Amino acid sequence: MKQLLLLPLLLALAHPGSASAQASGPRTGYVYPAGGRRGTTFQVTVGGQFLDGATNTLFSGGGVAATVIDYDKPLTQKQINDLRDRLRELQDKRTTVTRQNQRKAKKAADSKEEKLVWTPADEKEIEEIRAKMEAFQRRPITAAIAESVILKVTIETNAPMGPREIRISATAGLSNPLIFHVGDLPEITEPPPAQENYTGKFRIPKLANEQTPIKSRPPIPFTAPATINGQIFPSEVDRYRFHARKGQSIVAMVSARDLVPYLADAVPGWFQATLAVHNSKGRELAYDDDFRFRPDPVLHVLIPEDGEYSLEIKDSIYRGREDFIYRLTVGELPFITGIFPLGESVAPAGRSAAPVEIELQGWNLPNKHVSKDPATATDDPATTLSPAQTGAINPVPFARDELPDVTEREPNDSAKKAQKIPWGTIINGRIGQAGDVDFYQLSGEAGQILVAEVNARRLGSPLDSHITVTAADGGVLAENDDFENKGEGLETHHADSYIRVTLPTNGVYHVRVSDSQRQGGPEFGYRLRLSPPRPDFELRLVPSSLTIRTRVSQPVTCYALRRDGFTNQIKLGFKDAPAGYTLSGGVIPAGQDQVRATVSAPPDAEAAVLRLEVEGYAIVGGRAITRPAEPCDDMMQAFFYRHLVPAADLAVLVRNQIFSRESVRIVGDGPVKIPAGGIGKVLLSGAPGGFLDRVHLELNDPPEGIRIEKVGMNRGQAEITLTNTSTMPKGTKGNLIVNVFTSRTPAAAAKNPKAQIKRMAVGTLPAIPFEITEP
Amino acid sequence: MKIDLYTDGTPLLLSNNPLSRRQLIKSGLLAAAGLLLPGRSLAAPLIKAINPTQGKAKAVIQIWLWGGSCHIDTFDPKPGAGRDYFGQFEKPIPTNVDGIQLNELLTNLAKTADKFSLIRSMTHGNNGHETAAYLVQTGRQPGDRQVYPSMGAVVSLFKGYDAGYKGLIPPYVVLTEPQGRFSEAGFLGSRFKPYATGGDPAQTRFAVEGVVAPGITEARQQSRRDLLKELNSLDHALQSDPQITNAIDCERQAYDLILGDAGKVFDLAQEKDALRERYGRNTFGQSCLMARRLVEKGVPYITINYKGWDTHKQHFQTMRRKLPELDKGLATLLQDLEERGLLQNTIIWCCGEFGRTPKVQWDAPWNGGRNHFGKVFSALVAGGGFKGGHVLGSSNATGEEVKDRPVYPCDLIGTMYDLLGIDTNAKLPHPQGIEAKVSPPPGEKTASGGRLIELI
Repeated sequence: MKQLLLLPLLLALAHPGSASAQASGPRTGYVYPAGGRRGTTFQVTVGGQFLDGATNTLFSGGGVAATVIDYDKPLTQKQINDLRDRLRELQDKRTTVTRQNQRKAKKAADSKEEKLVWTPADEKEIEEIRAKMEAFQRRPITAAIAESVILKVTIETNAPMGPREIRISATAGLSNPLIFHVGDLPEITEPPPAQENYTGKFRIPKLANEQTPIKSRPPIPFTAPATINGQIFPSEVDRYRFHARKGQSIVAMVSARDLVPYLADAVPGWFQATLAVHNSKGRELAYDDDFRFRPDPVLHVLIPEDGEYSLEIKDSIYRGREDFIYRLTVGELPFITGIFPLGESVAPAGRSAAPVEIELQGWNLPNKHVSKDPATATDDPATTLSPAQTGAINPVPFARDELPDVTEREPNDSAKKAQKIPWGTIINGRIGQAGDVDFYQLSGEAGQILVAEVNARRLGSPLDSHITVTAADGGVLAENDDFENKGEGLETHHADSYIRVTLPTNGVYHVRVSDSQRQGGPEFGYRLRLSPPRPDFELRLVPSSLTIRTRVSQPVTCYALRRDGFTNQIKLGFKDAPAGYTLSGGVIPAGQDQVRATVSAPPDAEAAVLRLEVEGYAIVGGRAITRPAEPCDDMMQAFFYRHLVPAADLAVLVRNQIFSRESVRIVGDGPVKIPAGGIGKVLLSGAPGGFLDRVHLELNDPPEGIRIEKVGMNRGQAEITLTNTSTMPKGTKGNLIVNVFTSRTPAAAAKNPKAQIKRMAVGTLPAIPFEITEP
Repeated sequence: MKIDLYTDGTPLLLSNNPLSRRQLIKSGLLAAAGLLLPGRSLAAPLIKAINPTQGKAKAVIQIWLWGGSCHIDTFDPKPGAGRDYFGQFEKPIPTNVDGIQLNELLTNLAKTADKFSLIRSMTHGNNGHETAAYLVQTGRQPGDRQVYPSMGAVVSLFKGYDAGYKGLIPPYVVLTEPQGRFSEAGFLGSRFKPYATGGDPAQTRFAVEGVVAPGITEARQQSRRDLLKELNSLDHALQSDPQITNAIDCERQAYDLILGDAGKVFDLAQEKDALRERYGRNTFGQSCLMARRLVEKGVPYITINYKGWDTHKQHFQTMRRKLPELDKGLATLLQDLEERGLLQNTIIWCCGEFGRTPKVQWDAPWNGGRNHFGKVFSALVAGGGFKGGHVLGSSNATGEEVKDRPVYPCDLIGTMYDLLGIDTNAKLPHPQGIEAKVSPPPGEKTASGGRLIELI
């Protein structure tokens, strides 16, 4: 556990879900502005859903804190009807008062009619109601970002620069994370249209209605360098004006997809920003809609003459919404476009190694080379070169590997000139110019398995690699262009290549590397591994935010990314968790790629927010290895594609909401045996008589064919009977997750038979391991 | 000079006489008018392949659930599949046919289940709106470089003006908007596109585009026409020119539709209030009533383009609004057609381009939504030779797989062609002369489960 934070939390038994009984945790879609300057305090809006009762925020890293100052939720039709009635009442009152005043002017005020007085408070109320009614949209375009939490954020002067994650703690639990940057440049925040008349109470921007294109404002002046925060609404084009001198080397970098990586309900599945620079006569000097393979544009302009210049940013197809937010950093700023080599070898234990010299390409760089201390096995596994190391504004990935590495030696453009490589080596190479090909040679024996793996795109290289393994006679044994790597949640083009091939005879083999798009250049670096298989694994844990109520559990899914043919079982557990935190069902069976497990807090845990770490343990080649489970969120892109997007932390909100006298447990150690076509029984402890009167149990996303037949009592405890009509083969293992619901009938139900019973999701039972057996 | 004006392979105007610029412009206007008007005198005769003695059906009403309706929330309920599948609809209702259940909101259809049959094993596996809409309405796989005509256009070809249809209302009508994302006429060209009425039949005055001018009385319309006639010196000067005669003829027909009796079919005020209420006073309900009136006038193919079924988000709220509309309109249409003796000659088919993911997406931003699902969906068929009270095929326990008797779009469309007496082996006129038939011939890559002999 990294850190334990105590938060005062609102206590509520459970979050009432929709009528269909699914609990909905808080969900955030955007934070605006998505960052700020060190040493400043400013207002931030977080848009999302189910944010009622937002009380606290949780930032990853350090040096950033926030307080909640307001919350706004769109009005319901009933609320708007009530407001309309109240408005009518006030209007009637005003008419009466006017009439009385007119009469008063004519004759003495001896009427018996009740005297009414029109007060400033009435006037204010009428204005507020009108403002609310004007802002009301019958159906918000996107309910998922219709609610707003307004924060006051303070960034400490010495806060480390770089990205943070912000989560909101609300009545319904802990939200998903959003990216929030800490910078050091002056910040400008474009006033969003709805806030131009901000009166303290945030209103849903009326202009967010897709049917109402908005008029773009004149360019906003600023002085570079600066970071500009903006929000794009439908058909909007944002423009910013700055003065520049001849010869200045201006870099303009957009973060948009970087902030909200995927939009589930839009095509293209992210805010596809475009950026252009114009001179004072309106002539376009530069335009970019993505920087190489990254969707966020980066521009470099050499200023031709002293004068005014403008930057123009918009969505490529003029879409817009509250969550189309960006940060635009502009100035004569150092920016890295490429490095070489793309990584380093870990120095052998006990042996000192020379510093690693790294060549930098880019704009406005203070140094063309940097020297880095060699990595050691005990280093923090972070694999980036930070701005502090390079002097540039953008961090760049930098690989680290236990295998020794060598540098490519040109000329190696043909099999005859191939560079000889020993097995178990990583080559730092590059496709130096368009059409370049690199050949490597190694000797192998019949039956040996060769793995050739390119690591380039994953390290920020523009290379779209293609590799071929050929025998001495030139016959192609294997080739590969793209190899899908599900662990790379932010990549949508899995451009790196991978081959695993058994060598047919003793002899010489060649590995050829090229660019699929026949491009090349100094930035087209790669790391090519030529080695026997190195069975290994990586783990991803979903989701990255959990809300756990004491005495029930919460489900998580752990994905295994098996490398080089690794198939063994992986056991999961917490790393340094406080006593009493349990991971149930934490075994990824041999050969399987995922498991659903459950996390529970100690039965009497105090309300808290903490960060937990999960790791996996397996035997690989007779050696025990442990790998961390990287927290992730399962995000959808454009209605269809799914990605596991990494997060910094597994953040857990614990609530001591006692719904049961004791924790419910699964009786027995081994998995529940469920014969094909038969039944299996699960006995619970801590679930005595009366338990079943209060709760309803349902399987959560079970394997097809597994169902709960009944839940009854056995020896004074609840017992679940499962049926199996699946076609899963004997020996299949996994976990069953059982949702726990409480339910209540609304008061009106007695009179109205159609009134729906309100079901509330409380949590789950601990994961129930199962195994399919012979009929 | 010879000028051939082609829009779709059909010569619109042919003349050996030189045309002035003014004449040319006028010709263009006439070509545009030809989209609405029958154009009997303009089009070359097309190949016919129809055997009227074989077909029981004379007309088709297609109810297109635009966007793709959810099969398990309409015609294929799955109460045992768990809440993550049935969502808010746990209690399907029995119907007047033993063993057939429907969604709990389809109460009127439940009373008329003996009049229709359900296909619960429709499948094509395509999840894109455009491609799936093409597949379901043409029976063809997309992507073979040809854009085949939809069933409506094919019926318009074989049962329209070239087959003796005399009506002033075009033979292929869509109520009220074209589908978009889809070329109904395909390579047959714009002459076989549907006539989209525009307007809203649920409004007091159904402002049919090109027929009922919004905001203008009939008297004013008439006086405008008289003035135009007076000012139209070209018509007066060239009365002997066959093209001008043609144009005058077209204009007369157009005004017959606007001001004469033919256009009165669109006047729903002629129907009794009680019946209008039965159909439902909404766009869909009144479109169903409109469709019945068009069938009575002999229009062979009517599509009701019923929008709003693409429910990625907040699906259940939308279903609670739409299902009662569908139920009332469709059930009344079936009853009304039967009461008037029209059901036996009129095919009703009702489905969208695909089903929706049986597993509900509860999380934001969907908040209880369902995505596209081409692997399994349902269709309702009735009349025109289809039996009532049957269920063909089935899906598995969760509605995610076809369990038995897969039915592909070409099977359903082919069966309807059979009922209409249209030879599925007949050739379609192709502008480049490429051989094309009404239905894909056996042996091509189109998957098929065979004609729906169980339902006819």
